[in-house]
Amino acid sequence: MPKAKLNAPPKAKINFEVDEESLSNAKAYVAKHGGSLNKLVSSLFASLGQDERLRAPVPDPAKKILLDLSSGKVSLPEATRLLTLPDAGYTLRRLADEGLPLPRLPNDVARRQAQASLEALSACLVTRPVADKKPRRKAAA
Amino acid sequence: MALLIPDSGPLFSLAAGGMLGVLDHFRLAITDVVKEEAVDPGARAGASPEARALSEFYAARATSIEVFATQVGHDLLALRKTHPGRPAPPNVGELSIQSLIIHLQVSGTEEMPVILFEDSWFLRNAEALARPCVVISTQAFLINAEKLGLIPSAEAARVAISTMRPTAYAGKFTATAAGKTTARRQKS
Repeated sequence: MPKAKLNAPPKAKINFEVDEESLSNAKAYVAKHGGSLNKLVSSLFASLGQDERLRAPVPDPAKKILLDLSSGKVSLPEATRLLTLPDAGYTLRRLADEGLPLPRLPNDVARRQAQASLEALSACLVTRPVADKKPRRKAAA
Repeated sequence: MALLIPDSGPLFSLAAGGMLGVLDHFRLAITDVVKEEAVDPGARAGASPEARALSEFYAARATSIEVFATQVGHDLLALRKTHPGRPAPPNVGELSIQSLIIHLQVSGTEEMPVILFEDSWFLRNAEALARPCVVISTQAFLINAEKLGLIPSAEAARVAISTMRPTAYAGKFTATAAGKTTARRQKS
């Protein structure tokens, strides 16, 4: 089987009536521009609705930036810069006002990361953590 | 003692959740660029409450928080002199941290620093950072802070951050006699 056929969409056959004059016009068009009646009709069918898609409303650019921030595509400082806000606090506020969540790692990834970094993080401590404190023994009498 | 080096994203997140106090438990360092992104805006008129909180947090600890000048910060200054008005390249805070890591590596620092990035960094960068260092997300940092007894609940902390309601956090930080802060669960 030819390689191109492997990815080709399945074909269907249809029958329909058309005025003889229109058919002659279509045949003349194909003869002049190349191709086939089959391709001409197929391309007409494929183009249906494309105008509507092109006319679809463009999302608000600010909302798009917030969506990108929420999905982790841009960083907080970068979103702040793109939104031309004074500081990232405003960006977080806008995100919350839109009801968009902060990007979040899968729980298992965060837990694995926490486990792998606990020792290193503990090495940064300047105060003894509460959980690490052992009860003091009373001095022997 | 190793350094905890947060990017500006986690600093703003912790400020949004009213949780900057948890950083008092760590030897903290920031880069010059992160200071410019996260600390300096709070001193300006019209700054957000989070930026003001960060500015005040830094001002109260200016002697203990280490600020590292980086090559990226130096280049940024030069860029502004030669091309005033040209916007800074994207993600300069992250770049400055990478620059600092490289500097620490070349200068033979033995203690492995821990880098605190916002969670989205991990979605975008995976294993991009120069090593040796330990890279940790805000989410994993909060989990560990709970494990270490520094905060009562990582999940409650995340809720407070994402809803921008510091009062939603189920814990508060109280000053101890040593001047450090400790997490305590609020009585219901």
